[in-house]
Amino acid sequence: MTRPLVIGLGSPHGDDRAGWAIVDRLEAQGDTRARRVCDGVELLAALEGQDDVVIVDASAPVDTPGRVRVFVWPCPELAGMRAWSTHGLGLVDALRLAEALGQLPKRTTIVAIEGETARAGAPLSEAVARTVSDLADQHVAAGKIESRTHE
Amino acid sequence: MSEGTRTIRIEALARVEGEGALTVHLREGRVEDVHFRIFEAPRFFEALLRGRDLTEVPDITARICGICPVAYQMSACHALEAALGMSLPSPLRALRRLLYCGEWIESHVLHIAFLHAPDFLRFESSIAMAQSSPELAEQVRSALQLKKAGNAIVNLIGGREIHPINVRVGGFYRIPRQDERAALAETLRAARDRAHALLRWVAAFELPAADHDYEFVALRHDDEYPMNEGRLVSNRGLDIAYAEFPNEFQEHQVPYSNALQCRRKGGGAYFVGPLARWNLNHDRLPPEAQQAAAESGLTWPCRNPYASIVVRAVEVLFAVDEAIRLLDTFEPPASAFIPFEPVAAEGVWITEAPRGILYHRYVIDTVGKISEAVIVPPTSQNQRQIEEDLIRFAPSVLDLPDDDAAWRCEQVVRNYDPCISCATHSLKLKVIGR
Repeated sequence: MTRPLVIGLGSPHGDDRAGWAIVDRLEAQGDTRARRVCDGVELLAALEGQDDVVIVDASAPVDTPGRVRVFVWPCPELAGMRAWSTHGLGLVDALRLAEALGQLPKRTTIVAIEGETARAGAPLSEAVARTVSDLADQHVAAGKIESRTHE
Repeated sequence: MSEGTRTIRIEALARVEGEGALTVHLREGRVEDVHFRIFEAPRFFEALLRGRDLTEVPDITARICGICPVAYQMSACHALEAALGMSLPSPLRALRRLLYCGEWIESHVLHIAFLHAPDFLRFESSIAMAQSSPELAEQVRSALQLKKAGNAIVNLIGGREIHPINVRVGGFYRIPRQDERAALAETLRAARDRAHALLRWVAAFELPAADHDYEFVALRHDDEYPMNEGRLVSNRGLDIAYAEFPNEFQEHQVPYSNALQCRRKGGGAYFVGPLARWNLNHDRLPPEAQQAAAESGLTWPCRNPYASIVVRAVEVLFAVDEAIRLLDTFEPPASAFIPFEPVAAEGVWITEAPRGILYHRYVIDTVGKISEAVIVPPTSQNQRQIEEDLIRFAPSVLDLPDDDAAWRCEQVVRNYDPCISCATHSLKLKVIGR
């Protein structure tokens, strides 16, 4: 069975880098089914022709940096929400547009990693870096990322 | 409602790049004030650059924006090379232009099909537009494929699609192989029909009527449609070298925005971007692009800001053809870059980012460290013009309900494709009952 494509959605800034950092770690371990995107339209293009994808994105700080939530799209908890996006098209919009265009993969998993800071140019926080490392190792070992909470 | 006081407030502008807001204050049918607010602070990067080695500048400035990183790399490299007294040989210059073609295609197609077209067809989003009919869904699919052709250029010449890493002061790290260049040219040839179709699509949009005596500012080159070089000109007689920019333009702090507003010294707003380039350089487009523009019904000169979407589509077609031409005529250079020794100097340059002129100025010390950096992006230059457009436009929506009035005002903002810089795009996640 083909492993899912892991798509890291992010930017170079602080914990918003989490998605890219997962891809970095997977690539370093020889996984070629991983790629970085920086906005919804890039994500839309990356979904084309895929059957099974895992999208990793940072979520806004609440109270537990590094906490992981996993959703399977379509997901009512996310569908009614506007993404906190600095770009024209966010994650949720991209998935809805992929549906409208008939380009949604058969299985789309969203992994949200709660961030601590998205300050310009900042490195990953310790908590998020630990989560990134754990999730990448888990994916390499088991080919999947499961819901769990990192306290 | 045309009496009393009314405020149209848009707390988070949709379908623009970055975080911005808009407030229009009306009193007794007159616009009292318009504030186009930007929450992000690109000046942070100027401070970040101080003390860094000049070789790091192209990679650091590329991080300012995920949509237009090439523009930052191009202005930065050229400014630093000017400081070092370097002149790039023709093949390296051609590769720089080719890379810029890629970014123009990516950025313009994104804005046309995903952010701006819904305004003209009266949809709230590109999603609603794609859901409305198979034909419009196919337009969006085709635009996505066209954008991927731009991505392919940035991927090959820039080294990767996001925040390219193959650009260096003095040239590039690696020159693409002949087989890679040939494959890219084929990808672009396959995209030409899509570029024509995109132009035909937007040319059929009904544009709101508007006509205003703007000062358009753009680069102008002796024999090319401008990207990486030229003199800075305007339709009101401006004709200056890059270094004279601070004599003619000045950044201002406004209390409601984190971004500085750049205005004409002793004057006011001015207009940069595709419409300015078209008005000042339409004769520099190759005959095929000029013909396609004429067939689209685009006039010259054109003072209707809503026509910017058509000019963007003309520029996409031009960039596809120009990229093919550059690839077909490319002669590999002896070396991927020109070596240099640091000298204490100052360098200034302007290039044409997708959204308009991007000014960079650097002062470097004897060991090649940056001691001063100034970056003036196109959106900070268009900010005041956007506000002035809204001051003229807002009275015409006084009788509309708030939501519709706000949408119409947003459309005015989107004419400029403002890029409010790239900070974060995390998902704001609130889970109840889990």
